[in-house]
Amino acid sequence: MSQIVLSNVTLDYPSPDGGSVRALDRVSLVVQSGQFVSLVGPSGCGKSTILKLVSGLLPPTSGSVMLDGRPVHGVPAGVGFMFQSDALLPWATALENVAVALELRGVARPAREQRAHELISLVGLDGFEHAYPATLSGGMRKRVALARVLAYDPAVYLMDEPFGALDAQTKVQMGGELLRIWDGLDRTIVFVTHDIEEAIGLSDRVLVMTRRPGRIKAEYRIDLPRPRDFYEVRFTPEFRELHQAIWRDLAAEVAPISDAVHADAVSVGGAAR
Amino acid sequence: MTSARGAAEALRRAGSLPAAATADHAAPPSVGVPARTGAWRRQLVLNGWRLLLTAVLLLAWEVAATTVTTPFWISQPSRVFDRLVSLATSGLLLWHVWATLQAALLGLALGGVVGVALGLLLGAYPRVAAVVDPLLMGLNSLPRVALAPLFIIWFGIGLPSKVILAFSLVVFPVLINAYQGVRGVDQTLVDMLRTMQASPWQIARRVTIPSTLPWIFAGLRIGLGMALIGAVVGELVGSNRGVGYYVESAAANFDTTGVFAGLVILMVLTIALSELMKLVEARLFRWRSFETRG
Repeated sequence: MSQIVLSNVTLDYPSPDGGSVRALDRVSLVVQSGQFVSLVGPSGCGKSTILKLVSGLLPPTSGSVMLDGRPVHGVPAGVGFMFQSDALLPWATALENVAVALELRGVARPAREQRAHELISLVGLDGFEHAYPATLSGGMRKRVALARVLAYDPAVYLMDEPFGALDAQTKVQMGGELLRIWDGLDRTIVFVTHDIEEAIGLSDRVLVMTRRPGRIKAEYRIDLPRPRDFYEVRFTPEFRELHQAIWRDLAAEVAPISDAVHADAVSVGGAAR
Repeated sequence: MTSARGAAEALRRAGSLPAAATADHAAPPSVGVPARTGAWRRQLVLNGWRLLLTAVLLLAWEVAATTVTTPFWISQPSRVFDRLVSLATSGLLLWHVWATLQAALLGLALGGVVGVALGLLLGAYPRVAAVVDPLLMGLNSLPRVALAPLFIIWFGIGLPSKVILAFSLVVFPVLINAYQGVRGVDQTLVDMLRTMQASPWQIARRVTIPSTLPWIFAGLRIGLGMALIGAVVGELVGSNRGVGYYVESAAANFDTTGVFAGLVILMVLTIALSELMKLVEARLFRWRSFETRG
């Protein structure tokens, strides 16, 4: 059972003036095994911080983070991370970037190359195996990053706005691909985004966060039938109702401009991500 | 000066990173093949102009040596050429070049090893770096050339004094570059490997080393020129062998042809070595050639 449980988690970042900034304030949440859960919230609300806590990259200031009933200390096994930037190794080809995930686990070269080829093909990048990241478009790089996390094959996928930097069309395309691949796996995904449509289209549950210090403000169950068509589903009345409700929740959190500017100034130390 | 150059390079690299075309599926990246023939012709024309410029300058020198002044003062390209031929056939050329090369390469190796080691160490311990920073700055701003007499008092007129002088010039640019290379490692890449439970050694091998190597090589390329300067200056000040010694003894005999022959040798040596270095770099860092395209 891969189950993520955060109870009363608080996280303070050191701020440049020597004090600290509270990024998360007593956050509690449960993600059941095999669920697709999205976190949405205003920028700087600590969505990404939650992923870093679950992946063990950051320890909480207080409260507990449990994975499969065990507290997270250090980087746990079976948790894959897809970063906001694609985090590809610029000196490695697409194939090598994917194979790295297997190499770290000690898979022999022929086996890992074969697997990497399969995954490159799965994400639709046939013919680009030996291309360096700098020669690939943003969307293609995301595909390589996706293939890499699939190669690592964790029980839990943590995805930090993986398609955030893409243009609208590519974003829809990638979302569709992710759904198609995920439907065939039995994996847990925690997906951070600020795109409400993306969150509803992909998820079983959408959690809405408050502005900083981040807390869980509301939760929405997405009972749209699966398998879904990631694009078409957004024209159903249920989708539109959910969208409207979540939008209202979020709109209340997006501070008036002057406050937002102030918040950004405070976060210069890199609090959010 | 090295750090400014390094920073500029980092900026350029960062700037070209989001080289993302929006089209998701384009043709596989052809490495500029269609533009090849045109580029080839342009290169040919360019080389033609370069050759012409060199020929004109040499001709002007040749003529000026007998019209404006006399070969006693500025020698003459034809005489320099004859001297080079006789030096080469007598074996003296190789004898002197070998001495200079030995001193420069030993200095480069020593400076490279010490510079990289210190740079990596300081990169790993920023607090130590903050403590020693003024000391390093001070040492680096010393005109090392002025230290040559001191080194000769300490280490004699043989090889060691030249190696030490070359070392003292090489170590700083290499150190500064290695340091900046380590500081510039992308933390996201490290985090990415950490989430896949990579060991510290795997992180070093997969991220830290490949991202620092181009910086180290850039430092070594600068260091190479420095090493030759160090070796030659050492020879000028006190020695009995080497291209620097040859230039010095020729000048002492008012043999301007000998001086120019020595300078030509040094020029060719420096160009050959740095071209060799570029070739090695181009092979090692093929991935970078794509980043600068964008």
